[in-house]
Amino acid sequence: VIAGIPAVVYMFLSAALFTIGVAGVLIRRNLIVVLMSIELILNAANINLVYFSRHWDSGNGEAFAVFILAVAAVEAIVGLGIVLALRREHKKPLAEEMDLLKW
Amino acid sequence: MLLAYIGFSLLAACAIASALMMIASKNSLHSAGFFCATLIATAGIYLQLHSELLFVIQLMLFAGCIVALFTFASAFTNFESEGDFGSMLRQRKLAIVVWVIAGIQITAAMVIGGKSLPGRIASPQAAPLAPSMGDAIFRSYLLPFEMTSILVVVALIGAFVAAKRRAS
Repeated sequence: VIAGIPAVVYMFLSAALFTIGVAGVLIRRNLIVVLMSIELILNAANINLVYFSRHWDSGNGEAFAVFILAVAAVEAIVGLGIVLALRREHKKPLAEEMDLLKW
Repeated sequence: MLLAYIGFSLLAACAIASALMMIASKNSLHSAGFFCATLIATAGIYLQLHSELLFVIQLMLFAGCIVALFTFASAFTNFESEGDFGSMLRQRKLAIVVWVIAGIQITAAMVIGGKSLPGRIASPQAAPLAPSMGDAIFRSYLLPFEMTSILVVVALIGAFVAAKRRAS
């Protein structure tokens, strides 16, 4: 309990953002929005980490939140690089256009 | 205490509504805007939890750099998204099933885990966590930190190579 707000409320917010992100990954075809949804999932995990870091008065959770932020930034860079490379081949950035490794 | 509740409710409602609008809007530029709103609301929640360092990092790195990247990518790809949302009917059914299962699992884990959580009370005037966090990063988790820096370098080189114009 922090400032009168119980832990389950933070967990609910995190779970809600996580499921919205999963829905975005599953139902959208635009690769840019899919990447944004993945970032949303990582962000939802971060809310839990920061909350429990404060809950236990330990910096470990925040340290992992910083690691997750770094990984999210890297993932956005690589993903958008791939999207722009796909664009160069005069294709639309749709999920089903990425068939280079399919046979 | 009531003020904390009101602030948290506003921020959480803003975050969830923007996230919903993000996956529902047809234009990917609008999606980027709503994504930014979600991230700023999350940063507000970090501030409410008194983790000021992560608040600043979230605003600068997530709501600044990453959203700018997404905005530029949306503008460069210039993609008219007619028929984008939910036109793959077969996959959409499967998606709803997977989504419902995942939601049930997360809710169950939350309820069960929340029950066994000891009700520890951290005072709002608790000591700042940043020193303890720096201790964790640079003592306990030094190797993962160095791995992260290698990951960043590799990703930068990989992004350059992927986006490079092919010599044809």
